[in-house]
Amino acid sequence: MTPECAFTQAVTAGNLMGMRGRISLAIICIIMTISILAPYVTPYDPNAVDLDSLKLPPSAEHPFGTDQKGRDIFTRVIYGGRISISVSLAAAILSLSIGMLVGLVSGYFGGWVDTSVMAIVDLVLSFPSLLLAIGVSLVMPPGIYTVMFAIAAVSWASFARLIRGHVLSIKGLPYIEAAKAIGSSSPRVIFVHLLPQCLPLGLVMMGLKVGGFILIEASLSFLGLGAQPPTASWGAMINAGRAYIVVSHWMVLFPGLAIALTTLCFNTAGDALSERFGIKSSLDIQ
Amino acid sequence: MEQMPCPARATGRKHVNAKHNANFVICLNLYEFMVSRKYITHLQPRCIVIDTLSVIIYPVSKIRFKTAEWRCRILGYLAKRLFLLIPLLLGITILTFALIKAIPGDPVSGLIGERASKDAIENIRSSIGSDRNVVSQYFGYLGMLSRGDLGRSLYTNRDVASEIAEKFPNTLALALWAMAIATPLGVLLGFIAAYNRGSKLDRAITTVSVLGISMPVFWIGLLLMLLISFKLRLLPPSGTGGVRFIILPALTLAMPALATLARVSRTSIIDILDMPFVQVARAKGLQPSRIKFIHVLKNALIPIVTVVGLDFGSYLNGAVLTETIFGWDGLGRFAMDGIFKRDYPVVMGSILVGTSVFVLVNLLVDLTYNYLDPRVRLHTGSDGR
Repeated sequence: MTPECAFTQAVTAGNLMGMRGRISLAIICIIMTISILAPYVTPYDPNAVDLDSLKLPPSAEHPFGTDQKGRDIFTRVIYGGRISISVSLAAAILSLSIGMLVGLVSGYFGGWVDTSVMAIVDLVLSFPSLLLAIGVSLVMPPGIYTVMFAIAAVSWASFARLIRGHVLSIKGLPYIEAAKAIGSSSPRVIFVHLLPQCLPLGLVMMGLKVGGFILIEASLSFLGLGAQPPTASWGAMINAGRAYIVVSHWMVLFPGLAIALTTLCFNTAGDALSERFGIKSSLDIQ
Repeated sequence: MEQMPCPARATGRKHVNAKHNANFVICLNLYEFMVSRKYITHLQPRCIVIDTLSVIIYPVSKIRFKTAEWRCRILGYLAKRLFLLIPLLLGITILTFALIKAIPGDPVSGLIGERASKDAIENIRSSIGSDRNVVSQYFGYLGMLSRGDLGRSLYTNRDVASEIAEKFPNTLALALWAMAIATPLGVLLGFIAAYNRGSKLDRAITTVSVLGISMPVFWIGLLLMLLISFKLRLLPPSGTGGVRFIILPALTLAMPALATLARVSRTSIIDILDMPFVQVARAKGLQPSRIKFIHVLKNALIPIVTVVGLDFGSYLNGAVLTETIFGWDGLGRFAMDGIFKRDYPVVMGSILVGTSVFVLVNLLVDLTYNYLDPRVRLHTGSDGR
């Protein structure tokens, strides 16, 4: 493979993933664009109560129907997407940064630093993730920042372990030795020489994890620990629709479809990406 | 050489004779190699079979590895893992304790109200020990835990430990039912997909399994409830009780695990199908069904068992959601009730118990894994999970 070819492959995401990945990526882009442009896509206000149109079934006017307060569900799903996707992405970036920093430091210094840091990583990994996230979200008042922090608090550990392993495998390479030999400080070696080598791996791992984060976010808001009413988020909408499931099932159906579709696309895209880089998919062993 | 039971004699194959001298020599070399590496014992050489065409080493699961040394190593490993469990469990208690401490608000004013007199507050403080420093409080907490005391619910004033002991069997039953549904179905789907690799059926199964991983558990549960309980009126929508009540929550809980398993077993069976010993078994003219179910499935089971075990954690995660939806009276719903009422002893007790169970099951899976596949280096320490 010539360098030009490798470079072209690296910049065109399409070539990185194959057909399935490309389609998923396209759908993700569409969903995100719709969410960002929400006010232009739908004429309704997501939180405006309309007592004249309570629990209407899907129709041309309300494609996904309306909820128990007469709010348009299509609108709320779109606005909910803003919360759900941005919280998951922010949590992914947060846990990538924490995990990356911890993994780099632990892998680079080794010795007792590595041992103690990895003990903490093992401890965090030994908790069932949702239980730990619930525990963390109890400490803070419910809200989107809490969810973000709870997800990051649970998932930084797997990033840290992955990055640390990678650092261990590259820190013996001659160019690192050379950097040390000419007197580079530890922070310089870590951030200038090691970090760029670990970043692609971390990003692929992040791509694999985002789908799972959307599910955790949805679960936490379903349990009432996430975004508070009247703010729309997919999990909270399903929780609100639970009581009315017999009379108006669309209140549960459509937010769930949105979660499933988005997660599916993120999972497929992440999968394709990791296949391209030869990293074992986290879908295989969650 | 003469004292050693010769593999050819031990297998008793007629066709091993002077004609196949070359193969015989290779086989003996391999045999000696394996004996020297303690992979097999002298007494059990039947794992090596000489064929007219090639030397076959039977798949690992067939080889009897249980030499005295191996047993010794596995016992040592077990002891090490059990020993390492102690700091892990301690760490879990520290984390739980830190979470309790980090919860905002004064538990005392929560107990007796904001307007109580200073004396009363001081009294309660010293009686529950919150006037001592954090370290001695932690040791007090540890002492409580070692007596099997998880504190009392702030609302019902009932003993949390005995309530958890009451509810945990329900959660366990739910998880076992889910496992009983997910495991055979998942492996079957993976099996079908692997044997029809590249076909439409394979693609359909793969797609459905990715979909199963991507759908939120609580949503699947609500849709199943709507369809089966409310539309078809086949099963009760919620409650705790016999088989009729457990089917829906167990099915819901099984869904993501089923999808994961189908995926894993497909990959693992495809890996095994490409191995030389399967080709040789085919070339020998063994019945296809025998190859499929004995040679392939048995060896593909190793990663599958791991996933089944590790999924126990996802059952615990899912139980929180599933039990809440279906009103199943287990640990998950108990914890959720605690969360809604801000009943911290209940929540922390449930998290502590759930996590400890998860850790123990993981250890068990690790040991099973080592037992099933002795090629796994018996490593101790942090990377063992």
